[in-house]
Amino acid sequence: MKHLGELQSRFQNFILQPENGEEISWVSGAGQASSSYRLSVYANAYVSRLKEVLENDYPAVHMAIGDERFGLLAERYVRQHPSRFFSLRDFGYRFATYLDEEVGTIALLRDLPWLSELAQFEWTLGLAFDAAESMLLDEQDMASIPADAWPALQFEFCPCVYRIDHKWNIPSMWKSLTADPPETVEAIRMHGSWLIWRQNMVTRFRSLDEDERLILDLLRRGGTFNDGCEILASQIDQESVSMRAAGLLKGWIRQGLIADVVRAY
Amino acid sequence: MIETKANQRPFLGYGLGLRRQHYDDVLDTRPDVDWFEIISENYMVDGGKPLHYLDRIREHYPMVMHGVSLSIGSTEPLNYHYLDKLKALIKRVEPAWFSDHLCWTGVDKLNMHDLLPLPYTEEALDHVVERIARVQDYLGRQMLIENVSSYINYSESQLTEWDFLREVAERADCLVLLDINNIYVSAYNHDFDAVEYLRAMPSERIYQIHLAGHTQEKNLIVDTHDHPIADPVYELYAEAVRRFGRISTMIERDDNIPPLMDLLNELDRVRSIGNRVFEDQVA
Repeated sequence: MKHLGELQSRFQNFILQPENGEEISWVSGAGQASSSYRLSVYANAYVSRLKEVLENDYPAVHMAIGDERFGLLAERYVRQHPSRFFSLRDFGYRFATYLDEEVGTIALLRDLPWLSELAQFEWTLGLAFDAAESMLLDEQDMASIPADAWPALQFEFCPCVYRIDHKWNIPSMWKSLTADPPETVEAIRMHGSWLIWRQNMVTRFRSLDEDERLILDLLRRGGTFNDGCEILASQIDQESVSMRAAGLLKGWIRQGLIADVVRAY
Repeated sequence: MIETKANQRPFLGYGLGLRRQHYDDVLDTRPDVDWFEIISENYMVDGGKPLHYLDRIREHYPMVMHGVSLSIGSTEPLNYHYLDKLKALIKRVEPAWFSDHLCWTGVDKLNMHDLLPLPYTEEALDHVVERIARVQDYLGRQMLIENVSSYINYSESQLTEWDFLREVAERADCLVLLDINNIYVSAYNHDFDAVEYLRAMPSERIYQIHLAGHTQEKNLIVDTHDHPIADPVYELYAEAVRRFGRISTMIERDDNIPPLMDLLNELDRVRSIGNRVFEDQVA
């Protein structure tokens, strides 16, 4: 008699590798449908369910390369990276990495060097979409901070705030590919830094100038307002630093990026 | 059978599975749905729209929670990380009850994201009963366990599916979510009598009924939840109400999701069958 664990291993092996040729005597033949046909319902549903998850998570990648190529890549991903998650929400988490790893080995990816960046962008939008809520700092809170406290201030950004760098015109490609109806757009090499976040339940993104990118990255790593001003001073005129810092902060607060401030010392 | 003092299970009325396509319609039109069932895993996220809509809709409707990842029949250890998330969601939603399936979803730390059938053996029975008891202890409440549809039978099975389900419910002291469509699908696929299945059910433990559509494939019916409920499933539902009395009943639609109005019309048909059969029994 086969034990429960062995039956479950055999069943799962069939789902993962329906072509493995293993004898399936553990399924009783009944009625008009053969054992292998019955089992194939599970194996086919497995692949199509997970492919559909990737289609939903990566609509622009799907649109960019079409059903056939997307289907082939998705099926390879499903075979190579079976789900270890209780929720389908997380299944596609390394699809961008997978595309990046495979770009040199799969012929149909050879002319698509930007595809993994597009996937990374879509996944990050998803992360911002259901990131945790947090309190939001408002302009009044900022106004009540005494002047001598400012140099030592550290900023806590909301959990929905993500930073991403691209070598291609990914956000404009994404906009065109997900437009209704979709528009064609050419992939162009274009270095850029982007901010992705959620405000009032809507996922947003915008580009960052170099000085904003530097101060934002520094503050998100725990740098103080004083450190931030120093990094701004390396980019712009010394006289403009406080005006620029104040303008950036105001913008971040209005966009709902900052949860809280604390004094570092 | 009628509701007596000895058999007073809660009756929530007639409900729908809550789907994101209908969030705004539900809030804007407050449709005549007595309650909603949510898929628990869809709300095990940190924030954003899913939880925003969940909380707002919960303000207006009773809810029950329905899980797909408990994997109660798996030989893997129970996933306490999952159970902690479930516990937190139960605290947030305060559902009338929560349910999951009499199935397993994967071994070797993998998840097939499917409701895979169990062999109906004494070994599997002991295993499932012990795990349901542990889950109920951990969460501090009884759970509903649902029959799944299936396409295979194991050579090792010693019991019928209905004897297995009844034994599980009685030994683990859990409740039952009876999926009438799943009984119909499996009866066709395995050539058994669906009414015999109903006859074996422990009436007092059935707290909820699922109805759904399916797809006829070559020599098999596949449980796709992408069509309206089929007529024979309505007939089997009427038979269930005749036998068990009034039970909270809902429609599950997971694919090819129509406008909310279509589901409300379908739910009206369910409601009228449920109420008519019940009133005939009482009379």
